[in-house]
Amino acid sequence: MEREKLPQDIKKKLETDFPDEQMLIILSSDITHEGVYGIEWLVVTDKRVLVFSEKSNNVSALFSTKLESIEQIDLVNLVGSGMVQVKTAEGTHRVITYSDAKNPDFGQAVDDIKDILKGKSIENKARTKPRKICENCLLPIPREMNKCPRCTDKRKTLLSILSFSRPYVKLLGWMLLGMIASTCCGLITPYMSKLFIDQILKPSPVTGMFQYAKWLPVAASVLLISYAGQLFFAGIQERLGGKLGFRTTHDVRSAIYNKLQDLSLSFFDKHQTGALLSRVNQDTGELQRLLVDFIPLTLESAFMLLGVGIILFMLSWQLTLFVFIPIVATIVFIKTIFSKIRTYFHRFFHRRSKLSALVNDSLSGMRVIKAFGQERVEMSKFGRKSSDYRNAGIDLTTKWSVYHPILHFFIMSGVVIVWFIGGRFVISGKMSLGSVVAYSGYLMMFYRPVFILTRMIDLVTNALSAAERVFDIIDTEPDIKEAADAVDIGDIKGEIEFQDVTFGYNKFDPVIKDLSVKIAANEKIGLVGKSGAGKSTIINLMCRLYDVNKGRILIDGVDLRNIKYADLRRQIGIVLQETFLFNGTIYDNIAYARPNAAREEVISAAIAANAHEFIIEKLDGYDTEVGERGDRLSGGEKQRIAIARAILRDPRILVLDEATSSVDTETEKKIQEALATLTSGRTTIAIAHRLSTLRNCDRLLVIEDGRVVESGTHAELIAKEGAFYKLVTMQKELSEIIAING
Amino acid sequence: MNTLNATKISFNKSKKTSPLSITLEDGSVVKDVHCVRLFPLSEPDTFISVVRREDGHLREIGIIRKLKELTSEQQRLVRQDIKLRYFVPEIKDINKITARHGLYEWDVVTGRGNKNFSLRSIRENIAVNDKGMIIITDLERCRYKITDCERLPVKARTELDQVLL
Repeated sequence: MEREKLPQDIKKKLETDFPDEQMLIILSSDITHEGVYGIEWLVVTDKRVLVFSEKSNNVSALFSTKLESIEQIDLVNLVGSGMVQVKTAEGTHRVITYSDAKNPDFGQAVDDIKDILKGKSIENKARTKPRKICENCLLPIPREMNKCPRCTDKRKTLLSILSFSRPYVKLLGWMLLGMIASTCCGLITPYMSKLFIDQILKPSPVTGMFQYAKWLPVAASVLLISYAGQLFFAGIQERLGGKLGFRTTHDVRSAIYNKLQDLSLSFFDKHQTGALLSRVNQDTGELQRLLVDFIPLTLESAFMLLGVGIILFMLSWQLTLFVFIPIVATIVFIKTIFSKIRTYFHRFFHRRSKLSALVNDSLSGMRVIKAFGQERVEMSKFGRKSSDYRNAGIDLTTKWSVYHPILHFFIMSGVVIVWFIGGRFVISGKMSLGSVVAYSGYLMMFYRPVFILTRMIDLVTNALSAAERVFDIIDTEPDIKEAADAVDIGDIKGEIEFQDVTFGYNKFDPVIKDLSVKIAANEKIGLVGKSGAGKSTIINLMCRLYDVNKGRILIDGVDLRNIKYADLRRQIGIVLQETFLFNGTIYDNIAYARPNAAREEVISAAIAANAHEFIIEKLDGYDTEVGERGDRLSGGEKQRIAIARAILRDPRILVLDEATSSVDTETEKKIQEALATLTSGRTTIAIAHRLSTLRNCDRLLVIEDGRVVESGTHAELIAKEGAFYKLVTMQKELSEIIAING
Repeated sequence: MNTLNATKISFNKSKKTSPLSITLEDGSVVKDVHCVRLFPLSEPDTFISVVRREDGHLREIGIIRKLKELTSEQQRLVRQDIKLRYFVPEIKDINKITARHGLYEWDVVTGRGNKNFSLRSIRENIAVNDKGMIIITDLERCRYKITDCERLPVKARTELDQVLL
């Protein structure tokens, strides 16, 4: 039960007015009765329901009614908000309003109030999780997330990523060694120029002779070797780093994909496919960039920065102090500019993808465009999007053309300082010419890591948030879990029983209400009713794609939730209304039901489903590619493939979601024959539309508003002239109209 | 289409907490009705459908073509009902948009009061339609709209320009 903390004055008022009442529910809303942001309080005691406004000076209830005078209490879903509506003898009252963010909390509260009204104790199982507020930052945590995204320790995320790298520790070690070796080689080269200028190429002031001339080839070789070494070790590091990064990302990507396959269907109802797609592709891609590019680069830069920094100080600490001025300026510049320029980059790419989406859309809809003569409209739409893209491109290059030279100016001014200040040091004899040359060489090496590290802070933060989103999915627990003591029910008879089943996709909006029905083994049941009555939901529950909210479903007397998942699936075969064919051959699509089936079995199933006859007409026979990029099959052909799939599966219980799409009489006959073969000797539940199917059913259940309102054979129900009769006559009239007009 | 003659109908509200009731042209009274916008985004003040929920389904009583045709007192009642039904606050000003921890934190002034909210991703949570209307969906699935960017104060537009794609 939700019990938030009431403000003092309201609490006092309640205690004085109703001293012996026990407060059961205390819940705050976030919209006032005037429809603006503000807080109001819903208080339910064991005697009454009250609503208080937080603002009013003298505390008095906005609404108050005794529990016994409530006739009905409901949640009304509005647009972006919702309200609790109470019906009493006086009429309807809209009691309290809240935004969508608080919808589940009020849904639960209304459920609880209903229980209180019935005199029942409040249900403490299967409750909605209350809206979570982060203890640290006091801001709400999004419902689909387990932890506050603002306060999640980025180090922890980094650790979880690194835990995926654990199998590759050896690789990591070698990579770091390669990195150190390459950096060391890189550090030698500028120092060699100092040796060249100060020693080897400097004639002796006394004799004018090059006394170290014989060292020239040696020094040149050292230079060559250090260059080669730098490249060699960098190559090794890159190679190992790539291996490490790609392997780790592969592991993460597989983990997230496997998790998605494990999650219940309800998870996919809550998340948009697009968002999930971007998690799997983009976010893991971001993670990959983090592992393959960012982390090695950061390590390398840090190492370089340290090494070069030390050498700069050793060469001349005074000069280094001067040089720091432009370096600090560079850092500040990068920090402020790049957050801005990033938006321009994103905008550029975003608009490009929007443009290509438009082209994709209009090219696939070309028939409609031509049929309605809307070519001009499409052209102007394209023109607008394309010019948006053009403008984004121009903006980007304009900004970049300003920032880029400024950045380089800062870098170059460092070099100027070296020659000016360093030059004075040379003149005054504080520094050798070679040291200044070496110094400017090191300085150029210093800028790169400075540049990279400044950028990395942003890039790594972003990549880590992407990684967090990935781990969010990996850490999600599926709603439907296999019970620890789940059993294998082996070969079943196929008896099904629904006992007082209540279910809604949104818990507070039940689609199936107290449904009880018993189906004998091998019985053929037809579900009949208007669309939205709950027929498909019954089937979804039967397959345990969702778990019931109340009641239970039994198969051969065993609760669905106690049967092993794989075992349950083995017993049930489904032929769906919209046959989904995967990209692959006809053979693959039929064999999907049982991948290890022999070719003979697949062909027999296709023959039994009357699919064989059209398959042999295809040029590539069973090897014909279907699905998105393959041959397009007609509706009737697809249905027969689905039936073949189910025949191959050979389930005890068969679920049919009959297609409403009309096919010609010949095809219809073929499908009916195939269905007759399929359903014989199995318990069948069919969502039936076709009269022929209805006649063949042993019993019809007429579903209305989540309940069974009639049941009996086709003839019985027609004779009864009830709900079913009405449905049939309506359909008949409709088909007669079609027949006349057609 | 069953159009209601705006001059010949009248809405009533018995109590602060009760829903509207409507008196129709023929003098009959329908209780517990509410008003639904048929074009809530593109033309919020025209084509208002007056409906009543019966057995879990909406029954349409009729359509008011233009809200403006009602008397000002009647308009006030209907607008109040609509205000409660549609909670998609219009953003009037943007104090600040901060990108932090991979979230965008917005501090805005709406037609319904001040509000702070967070977004996960600009790409996924902000939709801009062809006419330049912006619909924003925050982390908690609450929606906000900006009907016309041009009408925002200059500073708010700059803030928006920093993040909008």
